[in-house]
Amino acid sequence: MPDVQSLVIEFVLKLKKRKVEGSQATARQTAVLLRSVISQQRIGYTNQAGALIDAVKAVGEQLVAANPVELAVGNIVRRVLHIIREEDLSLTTAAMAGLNLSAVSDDDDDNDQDDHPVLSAAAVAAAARSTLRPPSLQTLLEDMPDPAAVPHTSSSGGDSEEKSKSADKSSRSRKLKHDVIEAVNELIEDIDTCHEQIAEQAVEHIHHNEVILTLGSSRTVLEFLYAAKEKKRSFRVFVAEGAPRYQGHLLAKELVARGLQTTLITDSAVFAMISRVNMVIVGAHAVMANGGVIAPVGLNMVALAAQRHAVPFVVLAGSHKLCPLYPHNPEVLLNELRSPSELLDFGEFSDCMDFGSGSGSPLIHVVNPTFDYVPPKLVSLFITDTGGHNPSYMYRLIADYYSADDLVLQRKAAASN
Amino acid sequence: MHRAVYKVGLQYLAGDITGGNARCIAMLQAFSEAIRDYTTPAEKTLTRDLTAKIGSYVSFLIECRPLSISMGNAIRFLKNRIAKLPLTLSESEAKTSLCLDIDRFINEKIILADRVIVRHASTKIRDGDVLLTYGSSCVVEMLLSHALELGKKFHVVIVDSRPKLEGQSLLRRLVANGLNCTYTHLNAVSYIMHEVTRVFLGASSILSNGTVYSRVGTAAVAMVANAFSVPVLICCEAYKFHERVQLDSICFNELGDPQAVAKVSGRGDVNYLGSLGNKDNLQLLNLMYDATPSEYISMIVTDYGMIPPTSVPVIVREYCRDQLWI
Amino acid sequence: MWRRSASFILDKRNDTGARPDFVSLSPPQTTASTMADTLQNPNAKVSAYYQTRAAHHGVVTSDWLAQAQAAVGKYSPESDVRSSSSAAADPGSGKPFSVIDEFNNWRKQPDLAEAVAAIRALAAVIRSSEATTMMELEIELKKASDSLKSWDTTSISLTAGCDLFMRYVTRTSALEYEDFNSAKSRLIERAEKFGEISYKARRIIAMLSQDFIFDGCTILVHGFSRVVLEVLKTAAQNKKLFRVLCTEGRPDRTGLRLSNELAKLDVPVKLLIDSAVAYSMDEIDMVFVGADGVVESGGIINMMGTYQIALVAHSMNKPVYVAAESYKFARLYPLDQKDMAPALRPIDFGVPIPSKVEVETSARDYTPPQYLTLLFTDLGVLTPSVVSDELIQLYL
Repeated sequence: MPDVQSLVIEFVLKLKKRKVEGSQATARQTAVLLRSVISQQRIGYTNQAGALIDAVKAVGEQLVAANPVELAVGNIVRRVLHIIREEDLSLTTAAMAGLNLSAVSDDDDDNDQDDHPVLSAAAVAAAARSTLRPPSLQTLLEDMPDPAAVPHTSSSGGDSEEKSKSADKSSRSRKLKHDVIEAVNELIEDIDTCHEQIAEQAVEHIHHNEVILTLGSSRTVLEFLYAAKEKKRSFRVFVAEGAPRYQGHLLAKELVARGLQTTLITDSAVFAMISRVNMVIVGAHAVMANGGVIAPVGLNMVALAAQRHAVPFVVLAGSHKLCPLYPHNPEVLLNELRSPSELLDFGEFSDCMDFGSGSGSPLIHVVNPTFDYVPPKLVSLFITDTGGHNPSYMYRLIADYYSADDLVLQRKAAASN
Repeated sequence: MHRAVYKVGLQYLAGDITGGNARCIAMLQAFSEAIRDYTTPAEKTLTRDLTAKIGSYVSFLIECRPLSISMGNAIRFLKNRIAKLPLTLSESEAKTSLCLDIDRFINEKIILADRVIVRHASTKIRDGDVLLTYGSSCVVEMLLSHALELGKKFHVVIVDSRPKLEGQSLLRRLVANGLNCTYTHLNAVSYIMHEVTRVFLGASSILSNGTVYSRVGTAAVAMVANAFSVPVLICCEAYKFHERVQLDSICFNELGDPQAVAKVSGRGDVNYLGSLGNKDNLQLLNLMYDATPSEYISMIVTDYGMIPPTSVPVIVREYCRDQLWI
Repeated sequence: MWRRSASFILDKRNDTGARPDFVSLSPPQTTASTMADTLQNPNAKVSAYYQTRAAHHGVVTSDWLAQAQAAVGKYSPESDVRSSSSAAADPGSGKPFSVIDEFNNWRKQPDLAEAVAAIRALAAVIRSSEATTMMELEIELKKASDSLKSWDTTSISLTAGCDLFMRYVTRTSALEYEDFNSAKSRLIERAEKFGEISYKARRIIAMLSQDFIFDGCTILVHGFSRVVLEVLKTAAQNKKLFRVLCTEGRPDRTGLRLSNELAKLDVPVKLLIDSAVAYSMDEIDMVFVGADGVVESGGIINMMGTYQIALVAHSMNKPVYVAAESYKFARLYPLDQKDMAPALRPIDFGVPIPSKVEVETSARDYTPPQYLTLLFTDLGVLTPSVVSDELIQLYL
């Protein structure tokens, strides 16, 4: 088995050089890497979950720093952390239920509830669960929202477990790791099959003789349209080419090869054509917690045009693209500027682009961003592998997939207590 | 067929002359030349015969490339002048009178009008502004050079799009003038719009419901500017105003060469469609113009001053009719 | 003829319950109001909540202060508070314990949120209760909370605080504690801690909002809000460079107070009159407002003027951020401005208003959720749609 550290370094390099294309591939590779991190992590008898979480967090931090714009990396790291917490919790609850209740009474946790002698296992589990959940109004009075309580969950599991028979120990430690790896495998499988899951819903959204518009290329969109065609829907697809990468040409080629009626248009013709379009279906780079979308450049323009003509703007996104962060200034902070050579021929303009020499600033400044931010009010519907959702409901999906404590991966926020 | 007209037609066909004003001026000059060389055949009147002749020239030009609305206006002007010629004039007098009319039209309606527009519009440029323009409009280019001569400090963002990439030549000329420019493509317009304070756009024609008929992509730029509450100023000579109305860009448009869509010039790495040839289910659509709804437009700068888009029919009613046809 | 009256400090000294009258249009005779008034909120035309706010956050002019000092004579503010608390104890001996007195006593403290005062008052009810079963205690609490709520129907956070605590009582007692005494002591303990929770909530909100304040931004704030002040204070401490535009916040001019506080922190501040919001909106990057209450729809009820600021911001595509503690979430659902209990408040126009002229004295308005971008609460950064989710989970 290869050394984990070298695997990590290799992947970090790949991310830094932007060698990994597409968020699905990135998500999958991140999950695979984290799986091997977990399987190689030695864990002691106590606080096993804590050790796993620390290990995953440490690796996750490196990965996120390598490409902060590829949000899928951070998403998968958070998902894995959430998995560890959940598995640990279910084991703890199981263990607690089997324990004699009086044995727990001298638990020296400084949680208010633990001071209490009569405490059912269910209550402990509920309390532990509440730390997994984001804080809510329900728990406002019960427990102070205290992020520091999180390590307690895992340690309290470990502590109480010490009181159980020692024979359980080794089996439990192996069981936690085993369960976590199983769950990560499921996650990888989910990522692999997200296209099919999304495509299955295609028939519900595409009707006969409709005109669909899309921009650029997305594997999810391709599969979605193809699935609708397979179900004997006949419709026409307008593909905007998606400058400066012109991925739309690629999508058009694929669609034509699969026998769909396809029309290729320039990006500038989107506004002109949108009045004849029934639905806009696009892919996304990431979906933020407020329902905003980080999407390939140009989509904000398409979304505005769609809104003006009351054309539904549908975004397809696998659940690995759900990012639990709220965007602030996303146009700048979550963007990446690509090479000017995609827009201008260096040879032709070399005389005006003398960087560095002479006057200092070049007379020509070329802007070539990769992403656009589409605010939630422009999105009509999200279709994820779990079904269709309103932008206003995205927060809920995120609460299902992530633990509140993992939202911030970088260290700088450690002081937020 | 007169050779001057023939030449202009071929130049249209080859795409050597582009831009509403340039095409219009070239056409009028060719007509002027043709009129000078014209002699009325025996047993025919000048008015009837010359009108027919011009008509045949026009249909030839349409063969080469569909006329723009502004050219239609100019032709209507010329035909009107011919029809209104006093019968007392001799042939040579009539020809001179027509050539003078054509020269006057070019001078007053295009060249002087542009100067007036530039003077008006430059009052709306403040120091520190970031001006955005799309494609390449000759009035906007004149405006930017004029503002630079006035010593205003501003930055220009040129937004461009395929397949014509007209912005690149504008970029080259502006940079040669010493202007600092930012160049980007249409898709990035939402990204750059945060920094922009004014949007200046040209127009092929302005219709009487306030719709601006212009290079394809203009509507998208105006829409995004409107979404970011950046004022949109349209610079357009009054001879391009027309009393027709239009709501969308589909009913009346011009189609460019479809192959220009499939082939990305200067990007050898993008050649996905080359092998596909003529598959039945693949269509390539190359629209040349689009219609910008009047709600996105803050101001129209014309030779009659700065007017709101709601006043386009007023201009059409008050000026175009009188001055062009009489 | 109306003139500024220093009567409210006298009021405070004389009787604990009377609300400060200092911006009142009514003649100074109201100083004569008595203890009995407090029990049924005598001046039902005037919102006690907004009077308290005005007293705590309104700006006091220097000549007015001098006048007040002269009137009060030897009483310093500290002795004032002390005397008022002792006055609160007095009726306790004279007649049975009154939750309203208790509440009014707590709300005197400027740093204490209304909901905290309410919950503390309810805790006092538990303490003085002679109930022997959970059921009896619950009934007693219910009565107390109902009378509190009806005492000032205009205060949303009072209602929300009462509801939140009642909900907690029912759930806790039913679920986990069989022993009545331990349950009782736990309830009291949690209630006492609530002040801390409230303070902590403000800190959390301030932390959460830091990411959204970027260097070089201009923030518009409306009126005075403790949470918003905390947010801006934290941002200033984090060495963020930003500029704040404060509205004046008529009629109690709470915006002036905020601008004073910010100037102390060396934050560049510009004051606007309330009607200059649309004029200034294009230089603004974001709007920050507090909330008196967050309603089921995700909209907020806040000081008069918030709605129009949100409308202007929305039409110019500027984000509107609301900073509000989660205990302000209330199960209300106003459909329009008139669909809520009016909270009236006297307004000083500086000149006599003829009696024929009607004056709009409502103190607050409702901002529908579509004009709000995000809510910063101690539960996290939320979209308006989450509010209903939280409330449904709590009450169903």
